[in-house]
Amino acid sequence: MNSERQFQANYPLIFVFLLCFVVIGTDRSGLFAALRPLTTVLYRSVLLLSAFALILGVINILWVHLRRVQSGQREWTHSLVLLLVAIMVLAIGLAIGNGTTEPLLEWLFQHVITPLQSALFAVTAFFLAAAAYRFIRIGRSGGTWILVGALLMFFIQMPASSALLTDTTRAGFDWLLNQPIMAALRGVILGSSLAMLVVFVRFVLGRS
Amino acid sequence: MSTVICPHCGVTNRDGSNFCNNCGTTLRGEDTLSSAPAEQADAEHISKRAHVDPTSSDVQTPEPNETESSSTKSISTVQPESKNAEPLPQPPADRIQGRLPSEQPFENASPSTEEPPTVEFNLRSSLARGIPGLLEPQTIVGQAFDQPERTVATDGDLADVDLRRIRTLMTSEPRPSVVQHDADDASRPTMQVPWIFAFFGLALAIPIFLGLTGPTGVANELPGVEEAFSTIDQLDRPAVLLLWAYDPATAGELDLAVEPVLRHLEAKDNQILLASTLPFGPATARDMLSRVQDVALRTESNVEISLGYLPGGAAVLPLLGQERQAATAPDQVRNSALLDRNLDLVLIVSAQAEEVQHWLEQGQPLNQTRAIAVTSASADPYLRPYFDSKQLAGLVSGFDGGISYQRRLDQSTASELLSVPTATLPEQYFRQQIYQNWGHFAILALIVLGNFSMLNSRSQNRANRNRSSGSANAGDQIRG
Repeated sequence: MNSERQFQANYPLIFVFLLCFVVIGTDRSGLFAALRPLTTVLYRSVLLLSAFALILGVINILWVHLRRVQSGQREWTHSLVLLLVAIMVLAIGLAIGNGTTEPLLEWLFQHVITPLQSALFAVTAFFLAAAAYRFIRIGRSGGTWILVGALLMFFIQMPASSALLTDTTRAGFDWLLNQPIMAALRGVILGSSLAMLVVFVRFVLGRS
Repeated sequence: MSTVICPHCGVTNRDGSNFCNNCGTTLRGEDTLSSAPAEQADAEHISKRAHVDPTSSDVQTPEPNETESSSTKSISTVQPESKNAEPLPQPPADRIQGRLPSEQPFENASPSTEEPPTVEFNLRSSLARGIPGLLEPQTIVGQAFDQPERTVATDGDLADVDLRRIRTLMTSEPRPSVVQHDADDASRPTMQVPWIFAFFGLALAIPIFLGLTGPTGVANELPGVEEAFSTIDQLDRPAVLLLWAYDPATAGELDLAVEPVLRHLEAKDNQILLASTLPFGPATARDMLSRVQDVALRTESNVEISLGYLPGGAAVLPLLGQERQAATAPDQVRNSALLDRNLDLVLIVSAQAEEVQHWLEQGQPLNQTRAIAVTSASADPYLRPYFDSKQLAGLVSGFDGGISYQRRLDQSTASELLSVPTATLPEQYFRQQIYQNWGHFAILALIVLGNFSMLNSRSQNRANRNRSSGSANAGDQIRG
């Protein structure tokens, strides 16, 4: 019963998917040049829908954090800071009128956002180091292989290794990277892409 | 007193109950479990903890920081069964004491004169179903036996503190109250995270603050750099679609990789149509382009059209490929002729491989323009097949790619046409090599230290086990 309800509910999705598939596929094949304006309209519709989705997402974030502040949930002060900063930046961008090229917003971006984002991303290196200490070990399941591979890659990718490795060794490592490892990686990429395709088809047909 | 065990939550109810006092499941005609004669408990200390001395005057609160409010009634400990009552079935090892059904905070029942039965419910089911399990200090891994006894609030209205705690627990992710440390598990010793962070930070701080000049190295020029250089070198006043797909988080690596490429394009007097699929992309691009161009020498920026941030990800790339006018607002255009002109090059600057893949799949088939990708080193393996199959005309990845491209630029005649001198660039690349080497050394050292730590703890545990088994054998011999 449930699977039948799901199947019926996906009919509009299936219809839209098939229609767009036929239109865009025919346009891409070059058989009918007259379809180009229609596909342009479809792409512009995606642009508009994405913009509205972005606005809805921002509103949802503000609403969720407003509720957190109102109900006094854990770490509500963080939510309050987020709300205040969001409203401030929004007000600056809308009130002044030059949009994102406004000098004040440019200053905020260069002296606040850029250092903060860079610092946050740099902190991940410390967690990478901690993870390397904890998980790249012989005793864990598959740990020996991971240890050998990690040591190999860290040593090869170091700029200083060029002074330690001979040309023959370097060529050997390059072959290792370009042939068996790349083959395995391509297999993984292909497999994951096919799996995503299958999941999509199952979702569209309501069989998930 | 005979009891009935609810089939849904496992709580013991009085015999004859129509509904479970804990979860409300109907017990009429259900295949409920009735209490059996006492079974041998797998863990005797659980049964001992279930029977608290009724004469004890200990009063314990569920949370140490919780204060009694006027609306909260007296708090009592878990009451044991009377001596004449049928013994309750003993729980297996993974069950812990829980809240009594008659003492549920949401029930306004008057205090019963009968002794309420003890409540034993499955840890996992209590976490998955309903509120009562959430209000007990649970542990994800079965260390319930080490937990101190907790008391529960009796009937009466919930205090505001309790209500807030309930809302917090309902809306937040469950957290283990106690982290289990298995001393016998040699593969999982303690992490000593602060020491690891300090070690790694010190390894990076030493070359920075001491101004060390080594060790450096030679950049490994991968295939794709030479092809990218020659492709751009052959252009003359090209119209370039610049797809910007990285933000300040990854600018540390991408800036060094893309800067020589942009300088080379600037030397060719290019015209840029800028677009980005990231919200911070346009600002990052303007920052880099202003660094590359010398505003004093040029009367205006060569960014003729800036489409800004295009939401929608890969779905809007076909629009850039086939109908650039459709993606352009009138106030973004300074040179409308660029919209009608065929593109000479598409330069995709991205920290992730997906952006490049999306353009090659969605945009490039529509205009067949040559594409060069400037990416991070981690994206290189995923894009190498595209370069090998000639879908990408060039591939510049990571620090090594940027250094290699800069070296070629310095050796070529194009460097004479650059408006901004490049004397500072080699220093910047050498410093990056030094820091990268020290970082790699630190991570290699941590990996080796981690394995030594694991081997050392294994040998210690083995010695402890031998010692304990030896003392046990000695004790047996003495008793014998």
